[in-house]
Amino acid sequence: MGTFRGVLEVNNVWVRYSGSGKPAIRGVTFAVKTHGLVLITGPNGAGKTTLLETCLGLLKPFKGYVRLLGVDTRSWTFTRIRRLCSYVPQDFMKPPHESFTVRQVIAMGLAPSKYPFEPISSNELWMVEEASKLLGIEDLLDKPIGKLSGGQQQRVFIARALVRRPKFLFLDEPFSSIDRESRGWLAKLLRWYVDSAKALALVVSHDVSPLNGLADAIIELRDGVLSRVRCFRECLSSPT
Amino acid sequence: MLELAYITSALGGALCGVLGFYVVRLGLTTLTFTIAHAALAGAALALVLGTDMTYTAMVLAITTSLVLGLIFSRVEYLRDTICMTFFSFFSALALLSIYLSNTLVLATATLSTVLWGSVLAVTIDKAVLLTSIALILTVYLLAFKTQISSLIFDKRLAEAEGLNVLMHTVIIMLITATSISIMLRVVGGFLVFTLIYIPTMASTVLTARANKQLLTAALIGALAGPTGLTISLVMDLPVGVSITLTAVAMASATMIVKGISLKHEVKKVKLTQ
Repeated sequence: MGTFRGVLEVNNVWVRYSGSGKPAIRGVTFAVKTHGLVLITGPNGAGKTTLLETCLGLLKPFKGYVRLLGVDTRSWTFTRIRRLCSYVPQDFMKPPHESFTVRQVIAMGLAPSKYPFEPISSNELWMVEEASKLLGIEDLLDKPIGKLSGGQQQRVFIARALVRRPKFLFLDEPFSSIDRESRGWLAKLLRWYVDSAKALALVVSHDVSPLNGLADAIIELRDGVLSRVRCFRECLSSPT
Repeated sequence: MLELAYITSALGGALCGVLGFYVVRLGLTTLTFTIAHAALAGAALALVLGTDMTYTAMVLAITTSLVLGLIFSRVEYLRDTICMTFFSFFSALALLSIYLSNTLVLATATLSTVLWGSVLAVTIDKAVLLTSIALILTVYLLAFKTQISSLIFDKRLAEAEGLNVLMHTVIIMLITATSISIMLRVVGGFLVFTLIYIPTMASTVLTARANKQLLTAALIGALAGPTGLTISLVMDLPVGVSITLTAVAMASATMIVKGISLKHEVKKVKLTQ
């Protein structure tokens, strides 16, 4: 097995959920050399979310390793690397009684970089408003997040992801609750962010169409195994 | 002595109310339940060892929170089952310690302090310790206000964004373990955790806003302590039982009030339609 070098290295990764016998992903290997937009796709149960969460260190491989900027996701110091990352989970919906306002939720994205007693600055509050404008939710800033629809909540989480100005974006089904007309626009927004911030976006989506012509590479998973890799720009390497 | 018991029960009630808010929002309810029983086992063990009840309870409660914190950082499933295993062990240890303590101890007020608390058990040094913990918690919550908000909103997302979830969880568990160990003298080992959950439950019924929930939980805790203490003195009942029943009565009252106000709101909406 060759050694891959890059900003993200996924080397012969096997992940199993606690209490489950069968690994959710098996022997996945690829490396992303530079910034870009990488789509991870595949049918239900293929292991897309598992792969994404493993890349972010939320799940630990029992075999193989994942390195982000050269740091192993199992290392104690990986928490620092995560501060360069943003994540939009698949199960983002908050219950109706959740009372944090949209403004508070987006601003929470800035919390990990704060020192003790350091409040959110006026400049950061301006950034929160700018992020909300990008996602078209500026009118919802003072509403409790629990009162919003699924699509609106998903936009809030994407705004929270962007306000952090991350070097790595991990998005799990970011189009799932967005209306069909807005999906193309959101995909272009992601492309714009990746190019302007020289960031790497890993997007999990079973629906390839919004990112058609925008993704730099497409990784296809099937039954926990990397089945096909398509590169449209030189940013990714894989043995398959 | 009685003034000290009132001050301690009010301060401890408020402190437990605040901690309960974070414990429930962070999904640490079973963990806290186990830590409360570790404190009980520690207090019972002190009967056999002849050591200070509070400090022995504290050692066991703090050790348990650290051990469980470490286990939880590595094990993602069966967490509740692991907690309940520890809970069973500590319950058995508590009963074994009571059984092994000599007959003189069994006949004294010391044992009743372990089981259902005592007004006379609060001393100046324990009250000072409780005040110090309350101050430490206040400073901690002010220092990490944004981070803790993020944590209670979505722990997993906060972790993914690089927040040290383990560190904050352990800090909250350590403060909870220490507070429980001190409050055990007032409320008793079998009921001490009620001060953590009941005020939070009542506050959740009363308001949806996180800040208001926090304040309401603290207020209910602060009221339940001295009110229960008064009832205990007037009716000659065990103090822990009185405080718990008072807290339960307050929680029930909030539910009834909320239920009535909801009915009125529904009626209003129907009338306007």
